[in-house]
Amino acid sequence: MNESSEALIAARGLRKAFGRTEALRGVSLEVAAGETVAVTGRSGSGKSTLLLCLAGVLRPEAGEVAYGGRLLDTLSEAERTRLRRRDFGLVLQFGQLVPELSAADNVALPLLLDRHDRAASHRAALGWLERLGALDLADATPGELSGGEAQRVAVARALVTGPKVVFADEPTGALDTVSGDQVLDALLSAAREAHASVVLVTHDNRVAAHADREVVVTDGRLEDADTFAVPR
Amino acid sequence: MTRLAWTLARAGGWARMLLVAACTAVVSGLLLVAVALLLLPENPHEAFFNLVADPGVRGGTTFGTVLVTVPALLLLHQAVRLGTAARERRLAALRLAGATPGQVRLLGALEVGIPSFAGGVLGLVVYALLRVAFGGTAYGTAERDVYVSTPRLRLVPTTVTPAWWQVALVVLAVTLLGVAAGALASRGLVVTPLGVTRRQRTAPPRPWGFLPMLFAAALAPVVVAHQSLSTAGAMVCVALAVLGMASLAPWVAYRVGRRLRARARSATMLLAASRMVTQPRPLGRAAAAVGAIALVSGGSAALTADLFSTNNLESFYVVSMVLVFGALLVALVVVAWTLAVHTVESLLDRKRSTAALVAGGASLRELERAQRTECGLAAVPLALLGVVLGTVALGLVLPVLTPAGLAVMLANLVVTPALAWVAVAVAVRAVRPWTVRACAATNLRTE
Repeated sequence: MNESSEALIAARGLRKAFGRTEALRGVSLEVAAGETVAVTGRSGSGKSTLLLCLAGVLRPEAGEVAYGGRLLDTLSEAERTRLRRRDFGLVLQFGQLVPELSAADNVALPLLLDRHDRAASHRAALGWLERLGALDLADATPGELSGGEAQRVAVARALVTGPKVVFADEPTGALDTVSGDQVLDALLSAAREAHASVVLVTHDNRVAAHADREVVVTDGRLEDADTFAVPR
Repeated sequence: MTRLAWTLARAGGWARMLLVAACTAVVSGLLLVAVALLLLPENPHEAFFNLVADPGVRGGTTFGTVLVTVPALLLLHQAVRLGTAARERRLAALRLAGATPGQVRLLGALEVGIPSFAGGVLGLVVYALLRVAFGGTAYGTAERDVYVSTPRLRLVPTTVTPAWWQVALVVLAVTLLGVAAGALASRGLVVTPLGVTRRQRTAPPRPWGFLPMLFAAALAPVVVAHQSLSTAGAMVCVALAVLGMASLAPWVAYRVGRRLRARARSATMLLAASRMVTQPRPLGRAAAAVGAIALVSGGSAALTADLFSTNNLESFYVVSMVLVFGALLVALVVVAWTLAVHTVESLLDRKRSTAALVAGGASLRELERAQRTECGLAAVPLALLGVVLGTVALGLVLPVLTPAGLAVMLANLVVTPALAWVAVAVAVRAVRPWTVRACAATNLRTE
């Protein structure tokens, strides 16, 4: 495990409950810059909740998440929104694209939200679609895309702002093996080129094997991460 | 079967049922007032405001009362669509459990029919309340003296009451309207045991709404030329024009959206314009009444301008115009409700992508701005088109127009679209709790 001083993201003692169900029971985790960490565990173990807490989407009831030394809890909602828009990228299992927008517009959306020029945003979107082998899908709407194609567009959207961290929640969970491998390769290679950290939630050991490190969540608790470290 | 339909209706939520019942209650109550007006003898035995007392304009007043039901019917149509996705899942589950397509259709009809029927019956209460608030005063009663000293709007007959079979017919008609709205909402729906598919209408909307309006324009000179046709002819012309304006709404939304999508510079405009292009029909239906209201508003402003120009400011005319504009304002409030229901339905339909958008860095404020832009761009151009057409249509036949009259018409050209915008802003603000709920991270959870 990395030293705290090197950690880009550091979570300590995270607790989160949904009603009477405790999803996280004191989780601590650090992610270094440029590192890919796989968070694995059974369905309902709390791994997606952990990812959403790390990404500043969910607020934990106890504990803290620091990004680049800044505690997310001390940021206003507007600051957290800007942080997610500029520094984080998010890829979900499915259904994250805006159905009315073309693939290119979906990719350009985070830049437009950040008040970038439309033409420049569109060019950047096309560039990322090309890198991910999805340029021919630029004008298609999400309803016209296959699962794998939609995920490649989602990966492009997550990377278009040049994020420092990409959070991916079961990005290949709804795909067949071939499409899943293509999406994962695209995500990880693009993130490595951009020196971005990746937090990858998955229940698939094949997917987890692509990570630098694997941590396992069981019943809202993190098992000893070192035990599951993948040798490189 | 009725028990199952009742269970399904409850599963759709009390809010939807209450909204459907409230809409049908208002429609039923107004229709009962219209029936009572039709039942009045030429010289009624009660004191009324001139709009009802004068047999020459009573027909127009009855027609106006029926017209006020139009926004309520459009809200009913929107309310019926509320929670469509969940309802379609329930119907698919029923098919899986062994229900035939016919049984599913019947259940769908009963699910809307039950609250519509309840609303139809509750219309009697609305009618009774309107009688209390705006009832005429029968001659020979002690109240007649009060009438002289404390004038109030006497518009609803109290000496005549619809017969039981007329009430039954109104309730039946309103129930059937509710069922028809439900059937319209389920049009193109294919429910199989494996799920629900909807035959998408991919063709963009066409401007067919201009046809009834052109027909009304062609009919107008004939009506003006033949005095005997004036009341009935004017009603037909107004009905055709209102129908045309309401039908134009999806086309206007689509054209405005298309034009703006290509020129969008911000995420807000891109999101709003893209929704207008891909979903012009639901949005257009929600905003449809704005066009009709603006059309009547334009026409009424022209008539008001005529009163100013001819210095004919007798209390009858002034109160009549105030009544018309008051009814238009009430209709606009109903439009705000319709837009709010549309926005809620739209949010329920895309909870996951909305939550993903927020998780990816869009703020609540930006989402609300997109909602406001989307509804505003559908409603305001329609209001502008309606008010201009209404003003021009009646303004052209005015014999004299003074600067004061012109000022009234011009002011209305600004005020009507501005009020449409206010209705949109109120609607979007009212649905904030649903918007906040749609943004929740729980919507991101894997299903």
